[in-house]
Amino acid sequence: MTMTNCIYGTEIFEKRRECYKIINTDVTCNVDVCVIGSGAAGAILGAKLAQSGMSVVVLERGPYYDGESMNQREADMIPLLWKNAGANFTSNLRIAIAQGSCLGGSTVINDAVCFRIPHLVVEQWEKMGVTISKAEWDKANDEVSNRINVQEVTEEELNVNAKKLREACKKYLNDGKPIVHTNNHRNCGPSLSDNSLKSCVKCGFCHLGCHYDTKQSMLVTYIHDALNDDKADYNAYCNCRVDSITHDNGIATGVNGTFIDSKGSEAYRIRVNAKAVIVSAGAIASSNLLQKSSIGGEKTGKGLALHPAPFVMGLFEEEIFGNRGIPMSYTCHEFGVTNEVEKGGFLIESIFLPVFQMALAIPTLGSDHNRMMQNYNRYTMAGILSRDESVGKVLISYSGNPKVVYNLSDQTIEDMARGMGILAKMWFSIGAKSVITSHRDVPEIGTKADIPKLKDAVRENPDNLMLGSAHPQGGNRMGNNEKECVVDSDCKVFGFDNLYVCDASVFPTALGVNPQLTVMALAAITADKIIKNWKDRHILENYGTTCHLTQPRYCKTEQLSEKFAVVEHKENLFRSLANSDDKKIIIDKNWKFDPNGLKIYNNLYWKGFYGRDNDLMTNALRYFGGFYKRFRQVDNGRMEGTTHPFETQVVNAKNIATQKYVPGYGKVIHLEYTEFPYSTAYDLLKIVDENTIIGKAFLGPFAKGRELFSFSMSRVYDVNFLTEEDLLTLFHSDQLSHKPSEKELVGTWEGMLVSDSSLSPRSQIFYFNYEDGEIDMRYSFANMLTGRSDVLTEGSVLRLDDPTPFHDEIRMVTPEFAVGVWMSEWSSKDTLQPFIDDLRRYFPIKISNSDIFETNVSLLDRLRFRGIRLPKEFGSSFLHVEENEQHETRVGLLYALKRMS
Amino acid sequence: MIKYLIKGKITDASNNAINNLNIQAMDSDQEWFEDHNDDLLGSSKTGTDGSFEITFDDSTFTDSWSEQKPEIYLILRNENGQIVRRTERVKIESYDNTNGTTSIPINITLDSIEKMSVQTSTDLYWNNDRILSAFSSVGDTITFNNSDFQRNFGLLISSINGWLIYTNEIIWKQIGYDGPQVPRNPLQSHHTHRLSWDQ
Repeated sequence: MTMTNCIYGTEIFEKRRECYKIINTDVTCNVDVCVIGSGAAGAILGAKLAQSGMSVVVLERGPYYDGESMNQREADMIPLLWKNAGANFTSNLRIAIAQGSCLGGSTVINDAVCFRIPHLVVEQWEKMGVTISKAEWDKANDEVSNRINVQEVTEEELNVNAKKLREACKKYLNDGKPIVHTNNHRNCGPSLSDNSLKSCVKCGFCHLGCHYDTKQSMLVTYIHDALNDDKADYNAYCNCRVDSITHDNGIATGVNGTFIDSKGSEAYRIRVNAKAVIVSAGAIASSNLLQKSSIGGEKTGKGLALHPAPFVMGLFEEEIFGNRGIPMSYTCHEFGVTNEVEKGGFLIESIFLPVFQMALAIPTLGSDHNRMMQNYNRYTMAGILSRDESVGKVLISYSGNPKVVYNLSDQTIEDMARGMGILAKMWFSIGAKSVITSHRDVPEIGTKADIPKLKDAVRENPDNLMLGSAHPQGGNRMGNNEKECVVDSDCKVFGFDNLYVCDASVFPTALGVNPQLTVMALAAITADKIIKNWKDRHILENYGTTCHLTQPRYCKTEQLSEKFAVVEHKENLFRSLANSDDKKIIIDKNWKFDPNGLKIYNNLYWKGFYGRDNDLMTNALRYFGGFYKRFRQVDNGRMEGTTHPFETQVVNAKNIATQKYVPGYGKVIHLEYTEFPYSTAYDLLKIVDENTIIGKAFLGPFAKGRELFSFSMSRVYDVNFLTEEDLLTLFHSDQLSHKPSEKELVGTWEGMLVSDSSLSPRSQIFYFNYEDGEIDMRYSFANMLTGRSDVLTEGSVLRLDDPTPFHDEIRMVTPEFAVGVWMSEWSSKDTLQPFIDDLRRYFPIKISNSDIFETNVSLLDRLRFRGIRLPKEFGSSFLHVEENEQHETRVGLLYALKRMS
Repeated sequence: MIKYLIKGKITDASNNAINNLNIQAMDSDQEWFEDHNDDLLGSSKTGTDGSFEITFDDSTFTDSWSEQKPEIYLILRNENGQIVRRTERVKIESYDNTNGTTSIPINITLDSIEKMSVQTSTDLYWNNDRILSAFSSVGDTITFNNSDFQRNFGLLISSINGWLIYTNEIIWKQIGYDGPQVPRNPLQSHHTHRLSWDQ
């Protein structure tokens, strides 16, 4: 797809300000730079690089909405614009984290507060190995501030809430001295969509998206600029979840992503091949993506800070109308990093919440809550923005989502206790009748005398504080020490030549002030460095896992159908339809394994593939109806074939293949089934290349049948489509696999069960740690059953034993790929028979390497329903039974293991 | 054998021809099967004058057991294969049949090329599917601790309480909350950019 300067997405809208097109197909593109994320960092990097002459693709997980779509309603806008519809928490549910998930990122939903990086922080970071000078920061701050129109809030723009905070600051003396407090700076300016609006309307709904387009978010500044620059080659793909960054020997080769529709279903896929990849997905998501892509190892995800912020409100006689006007326009600096506080500290910032968020924030229930909410218009409100220590970490959950583990440090708890005490005192000093706090044990205090009670409650039971965070930072630390840091001062990932992480995740410590301007400045600095040091390199073209004619196994059914309609059948390749005469795999003759591409060449048969659709019907076909077709040449114009489901031993549909002209389809191969009952069906096939076929199956008389489904077939496929036979061939071959040493396996592995048609989704995770000469192995099956196994290295396999009657045997194929079996012990078939019978009652079993159950199959036996028994010849083959030379039997599962980290 | 001819022209709102569009004629079997199993009757491209013709005969859609008359819709695709319009289904009952060919005229007017991307609008507001899908990724990132039960239960209650009560405009009025300053669906409702408390 080569259309320039447009936004693409899966959501369908009628009116968009920018060029917007809907994704209706898989996308592959080759560009100079792929930027992941469109927030404070990603937007600036994308725009600057595109305007310097590079072709740029920006991938954004969230959707694209204009200001005009933003309706100021919390129930509508939070699910639309906030990450996880606002349900974004630390793993212990203690802190709610607000992050934007839309084109423009958090800059669309923040309160537009702009602080330059405090000089103290610049010095601290320099000591931690960051080589960005104050002059560089200043220059970048000037550049960015100029574009997003950073201006000091005027006297006229201060609302009553802010003025009350100012009044309180004026009265408060610290050690007998006046304290430091100022108006904020904000990025507001002339509206992009309404010429009559020259600056902020002061509606107070900044963090639900600016309806008026006066907030100079990335959406209306850098993204808008790049899209509308005729000289720039810039496209943004929204609703795009990036699944992994692919890399090879320190070179990032590209990005695989999936387009998600508004219902959360996977719609289409994207593959971007790029000369450089920049991760700007925001703290938490950037670490998660690196972890999903096995980048950065143990360092990734460590050192997360959140700026956790409790609030304190004052209740006044008079009406304050805190919701009217700019929510965050005033700050008390006295106790924070902007006033030379080196360690910890906090800012007191004016803030006010719309009514639903206020209801969530007030830490009471029932009549107390109701009473407090009735006074909504009489509160003043400010938050304590604590400069916390980087004690959090981002882990990867079983399903691959980021799990934020964060516990408040003693220093942060003390800062919060102190800050809340000071703020409560401030509100009382200007006449508050009472003070509402965010601590559940002391939600309300009536006099100054109760302040120590509040502080004690914070210190003694910090878990009962209701905390919000809007500034996650860290996780991919920047610095010069490769052992501790993920990126260097150029934001380049250590060990990589063309992979960058640039966003708040690289901050070595918490900033202590609202971070958007610093993130933007860092992006501007990094963009300049990338432009200056640009090394043009060759793009390795790759279709990833997108639908393409050369790999139709990755197509959706609809796409297969379309491809079938347009592709021309290669008549001259008809003879090459014939498969190997051998009935068993002979390695390097009819079956080969490519360890570099993890691909299998298999000429025993043509392996069938269904569409990649995730609906019930296709999933059922995929796991219950895997098939292959085998051809033998009879004469020049004719092939004899059989179609054979993997799961049954008795179905053997004989057919004859001839080339014909079929109305509506053109020249195709007609596969005519010769025996009843299969003769009621037929297939049409088109040869795409010597190893690829697209086909359609029909029921009914030839050329008049009802189309059943589209499919593809191939003699080359990757290990995602491994069959049981392929796995066992790898497992038993000394050339292709080996017994792993304990150290070789160290890391995290995901396991997928092998059915013949396609691997299952992730079924288990194995964790191997090696410490003090001992291996420690933990497992998690389906995110439910967890435990530890003993690791035994005798024999030809690495064996994992746990207290169950089953054990694992693993052999390693490549450093990134291994194959395993989960099996019972060998036992006489009399011992195992009742157990297998029992399983058979509920699970269809594939019999491999054994005919012991084959002989007694009668129609009666197959039709006898007990429980939900199915005939054994039909269904999923996940369960595997095998027999050895001593006629002993064992039963279990086969699985493929891929390294996650 | 009955022959069919679909003939038509694609123009924009100002009657300008739209050329180089791919047109696929499909026979719908929506009543029984999924969309992607529909029969492709034939395909064509619009010429410089926006016109196109697709011919096919009944062998391309007649099923052995189902209805004998095609139910036709067109899929319009741009150069990149993206679907820009899927027309309504037309049941062919009887049309002019001269020289053994049934003619089916289908003329389509598209407001503009941009407008062609529009199928049905995504439901933007209060979309339960959207909210549920966003919540689904939260699942295994939370570790529940039994000792937190009371606290977490309180959080749940206050969230439900907040959602049910404080997103309600009647309650807003009761507590004197000014509320949003634009209509619920600003894209479709005329509104000014003035605030209620400034007026």
